[in-house]
Amino acid sequence: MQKIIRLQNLLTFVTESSHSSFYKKHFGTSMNHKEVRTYEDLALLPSISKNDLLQTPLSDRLYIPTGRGLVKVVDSGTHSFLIKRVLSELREEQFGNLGERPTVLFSNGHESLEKSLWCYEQNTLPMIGESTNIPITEYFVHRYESDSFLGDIKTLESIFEQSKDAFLPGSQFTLCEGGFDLVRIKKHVPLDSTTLILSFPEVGACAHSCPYHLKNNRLVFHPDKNSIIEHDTNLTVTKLIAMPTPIIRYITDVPSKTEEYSCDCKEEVSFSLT
Amino acid sequence: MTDKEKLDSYGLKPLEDMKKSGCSKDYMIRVSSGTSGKKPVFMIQNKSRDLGKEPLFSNQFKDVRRIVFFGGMLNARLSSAARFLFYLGEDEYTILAVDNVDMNSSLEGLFRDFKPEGFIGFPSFIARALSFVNDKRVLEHVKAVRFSGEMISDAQKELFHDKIPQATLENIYASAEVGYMSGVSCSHLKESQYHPYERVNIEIINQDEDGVGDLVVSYNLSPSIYINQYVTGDTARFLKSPCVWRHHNI
Repeated sequence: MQKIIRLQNLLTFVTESSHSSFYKKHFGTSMNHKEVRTYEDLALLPSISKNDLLQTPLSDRLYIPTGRGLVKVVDSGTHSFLIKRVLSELREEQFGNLGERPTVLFSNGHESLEKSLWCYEQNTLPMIGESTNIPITEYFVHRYESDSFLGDIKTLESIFEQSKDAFLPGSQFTLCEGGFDLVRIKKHVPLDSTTLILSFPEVGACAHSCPYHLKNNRLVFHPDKNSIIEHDTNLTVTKLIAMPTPIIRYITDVPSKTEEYSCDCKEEVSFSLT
Repeated sequence: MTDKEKLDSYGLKPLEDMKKSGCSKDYMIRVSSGTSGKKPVFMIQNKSRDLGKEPLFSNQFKDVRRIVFFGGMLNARLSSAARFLFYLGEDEYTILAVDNVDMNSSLEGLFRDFKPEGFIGFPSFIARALSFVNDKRVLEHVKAVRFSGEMISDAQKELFHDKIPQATLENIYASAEVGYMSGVSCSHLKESQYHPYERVNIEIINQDEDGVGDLVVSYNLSPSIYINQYVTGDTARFLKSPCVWRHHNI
């Protein structure tokens, strides 16, 4: 029930904002947002896509114009657009569990920078790696005696190609991506020390892997505490934190389905990537 | 004196100070890539010496709020981001750290959307970015540019005067291992002349008859670790007379 209340507050915020009319125009007269009382009601609102973000300058979809933060360049394939994060909401993101000395390394420099600032907001000192210089990154991982990794599989693979024992024994690995290849992941790290975070550059994190199902080689996820996920066709995400460009019914190109298998997580919702 | 190897040997020791303070934001991992043929340097530095307002910026840069970084290593970009987002009082900075992959024709549109007010970085990187910007109105909000890491060529100066004639151009003396070593930028200084940063102690040793010698710098790496006369590898001399603002120069 708590998520529904947060959703209602978010819808009120975006439709009554004096800073942007992006969602007001997008929703049009399709539905009165005040009538959204359930997840099924949410599904009646129009969705947005990457193309909507690409076609609307950041300045026209900025609901929170103030606050210290960074702007990232997000590549849509043919063109790029900007996404802003402010520290006050970035710190609420659920990018997994950090060790004491995390290494942060993504193929995309903007993602590395964002997640490093998130580490600082969790009061943890990050070691940001250089995706264009893996030998030097591996050297610094050793020097820092890093006990955890936050990044993507491509950069993790590169580090392990340099050295199989780059990280301390017992290190935790968190992969933040929009899709996962378990076969590829298992070649490098044990699944019981790994968390998969379903995450997109323009959205942030939205779900985490179910540890029970992951042990059994199944890509089953639970939405994180800040996200409502519709998962019957393509994954559609609504983020309940106050992002500068709020994310409401953002449709991804990731196919998914409701997961029938139960688990011990006691989470309400499970879905799997197909 | 402290050389690169000794600086590197402090390793994780500053983490003990960090644990006592309980605040990771006061600290930064500083690295140098070792591309000059020397071994890479890794250290953890307390940045709280940079906390609060200080006369480090020119008047022009003080008004800048939307800043684009044109750094090399990601470590440098994170260091710059942390400086503006954590250490500089309550001012609301927004930073955009441009990557190599962003250097294409999309950049003009991104700058049009971001409306940058300040640039910080390598002159060659900034020049390359500006070569993708044909509509100068996109750059009309740029008030100040801060260069570091390399000398500016005449061709680059011409490009900056053409594309951003309204912007103040400042040179900063800094290194990956130490951070800032020059202080407030001053229009009375010529190129390659700087006022020392007041939070470090700069000395010039082994001077020849013209006063040119090795530039060494002393500073606190963390509250319990003092770096005594770190050998930067640069040569310098103190200028005989201070500038009209009575700041001493190197």
